[in-house]
Amino acid sequence: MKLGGYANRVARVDLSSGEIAYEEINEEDARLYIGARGLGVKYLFDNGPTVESDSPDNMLAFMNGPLTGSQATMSGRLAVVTKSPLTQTITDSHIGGWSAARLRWSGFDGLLFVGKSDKPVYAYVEDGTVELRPADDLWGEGVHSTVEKLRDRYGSPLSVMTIGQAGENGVRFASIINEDDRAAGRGGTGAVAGFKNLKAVVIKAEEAMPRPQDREKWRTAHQRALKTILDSEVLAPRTGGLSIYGTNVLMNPVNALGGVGVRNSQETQYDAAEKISGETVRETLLSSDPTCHACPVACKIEVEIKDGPYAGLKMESLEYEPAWALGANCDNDDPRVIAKLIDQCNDYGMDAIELGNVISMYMEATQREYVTGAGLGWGDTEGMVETAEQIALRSGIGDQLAEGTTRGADKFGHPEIAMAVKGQAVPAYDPRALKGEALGYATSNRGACHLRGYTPASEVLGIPVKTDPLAWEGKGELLKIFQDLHAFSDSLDLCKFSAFSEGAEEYAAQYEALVGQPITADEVMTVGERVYNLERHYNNLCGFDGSDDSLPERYLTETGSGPASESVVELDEMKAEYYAARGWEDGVVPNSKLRALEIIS
Amino acid sequence: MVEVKFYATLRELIDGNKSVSVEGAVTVSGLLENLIERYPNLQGGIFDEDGNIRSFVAVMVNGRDIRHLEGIDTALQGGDTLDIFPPVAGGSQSESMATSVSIRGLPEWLIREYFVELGGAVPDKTQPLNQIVSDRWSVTWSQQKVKIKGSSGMGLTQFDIVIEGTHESPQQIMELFMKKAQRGGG
Ligand code: SF4
Repeated sequence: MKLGGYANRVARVDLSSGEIAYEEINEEDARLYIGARGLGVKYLFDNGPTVESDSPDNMLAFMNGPLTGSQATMSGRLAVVTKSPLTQTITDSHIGGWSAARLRWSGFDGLLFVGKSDKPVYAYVEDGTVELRPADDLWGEGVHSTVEKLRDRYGSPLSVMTIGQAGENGVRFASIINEDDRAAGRGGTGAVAGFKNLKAVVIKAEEAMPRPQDREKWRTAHQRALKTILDSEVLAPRTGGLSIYGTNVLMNPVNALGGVGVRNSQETQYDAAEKISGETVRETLLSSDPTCHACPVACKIEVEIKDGPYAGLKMESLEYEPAWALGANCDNDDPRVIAKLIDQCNDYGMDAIELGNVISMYMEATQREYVTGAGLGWGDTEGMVETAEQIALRSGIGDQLAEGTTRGADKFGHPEIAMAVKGQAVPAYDPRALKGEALGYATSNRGACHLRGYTPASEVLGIPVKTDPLAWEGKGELLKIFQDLHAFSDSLDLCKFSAFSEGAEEYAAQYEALVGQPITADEVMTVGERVYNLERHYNNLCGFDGSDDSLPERYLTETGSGPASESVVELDEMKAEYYAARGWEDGVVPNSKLRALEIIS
Repeated sequence: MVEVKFYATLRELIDGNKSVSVEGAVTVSGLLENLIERYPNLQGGIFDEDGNIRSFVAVMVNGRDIRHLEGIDTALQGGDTLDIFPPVAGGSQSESMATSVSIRGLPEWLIREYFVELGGAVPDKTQPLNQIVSDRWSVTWSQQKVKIKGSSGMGLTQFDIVIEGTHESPQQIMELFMKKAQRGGG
């Protein structure tokens, strides 16, 4: 392959036979889909969209982009792509830290796992080779002790991406954790690894950044991108809101909009929001603010608990999403308990957003007396910690809740209390208060998700242009632009937060200089659109259509609180506008569109 | 308080001012009534004989045309900004037309670079920093710090950008600029 930047090497690992084949990257695919999310989805698509998520045929892809591990700011990311056991759609979940960079430095753009090992194994990656090694002694261990054992065994510089007990036990929202506390959180990638008996991917590599094809251009492109970050009022190291407070800087502003769901979205404004906000956490619990490869922003929030039942716990990262899901959403206003629960998620390997929602669903079932037995009351923090453990170990009620929010509520006979779309639970922006997010959740290709198209940038912060969060008109076009832009940055793979300060031009310039392939800002948006449509096409072939682009009834019929007190979601109107912007027919990509985007010929 | 900015020929109708502040208006229609009381000449500049907003007058609330909101019933909040553009008169090539947008999240130097990339002249030292001129259009902006509601820790700089076209549609330049200025987040 002529394109620069890439390692041009992918390992295809058949866990059933133990065979490992090394491949080059198809140049045409690399041009069309770039890498990471885009190329990962293409590999999954070529593997057949109709494979069952829990069959050996399902593929689990760890994919870097051409910028991963380079000098590019915020480039320490990879995408884990698979068919989700939670949603049965395509899913991709990204991790930061250093594992992605080390995977690139070890000589790989990606690792593709198929098949199923008959015994627990881990993949050991070094110097352009992959070996499967027995993991019997690691099976049953949590993430923290697995990482520790592997560090003792191999020394540094080492990265470990591993599952905990949740993945082993087939918890449908199990995640893969990278270096103790950075999660490929959503979509149940950890359950797929667990099903395959793949405990971990271990990478040993010294820094070896890929060289740009055009050094002169690279200097300019890199400097400009970096300068936008350093001058960003959101990102700037030690002065930007995200750098100082982490993502939880959003708790108060979103609450002011009436967008913080309380008690399983029965209300949308939390009177104790301040107590769990980024501001309070910084004042009372913060111990340090770690970062990822090549990132001066350092948005991670490491905390140390000094008192109460979890005194002594040191963990990262106390983010907005889990602070909402495990806090306001469950009427838990104690940030120390939130920290404990996040750490449980990191150690068992579970998605904190789904955990918060499955627990709040269980709490509402208790409130409405749908459960036999004592159930779990609002704000019962000890009970939450216990329930989290039961879920990871699939013991007691945990076995039912380990199936996820939608399936868990079905078993209570009350699907209406599941705040989920396509089987995946909602994130921390109540759809009644942010209409762009409402549409984003409904139409996301991986189930409810705030990261496909992050409209709060516009609806909360006014970046780049302020839109009225309660208005639905225009959100279809807005969401499409956000989704396409993110699909591109996810394919490079740069941290999502880069988009607060960088746009299509900055991405184009960096890609062009590093890869040596000309690309315009318009083409960046077209690639993003192509990736988004390939995902949608994959889902269409699995049987998904417009009827699956839905929202829980609650958001359509029950109003919220505060500024959202008269608001419900105008879903049909928004979907019509969005499909028109996308050129889809009732949620299905027509062949003409697939051809125009070069997805099919 | 709401700030209302006027462009081109409309400025003559408000005693040559560029903008007016209005207190206490809760909808666009209430605000327009209030303005017409103060500047009766505006009546004919904005409304036709039937009392409807004239067809080429654009009223924007926070950068959005009220035709895409709730028309003259669009609700207003303190801190909102309105832009009112006159119809493009006579089809004369040199008639200035204008369009505006409010942008956050971008540093000023990047806004300047983007307009230079779109054909603006590289500013020399004598020019104001908030202006880029080409032989087909010109752009100026003002800046203000906006607080993010509910947040103690975060404020953002907003650039209120006005493009005036002399030989080219300002909307077209705006569209190209917005492609560059598009951002996301996560
Ligand atoms: S902004 Fe935060 S998550 Fe993104 S690369 Fe930097 S430290 Fe990591």
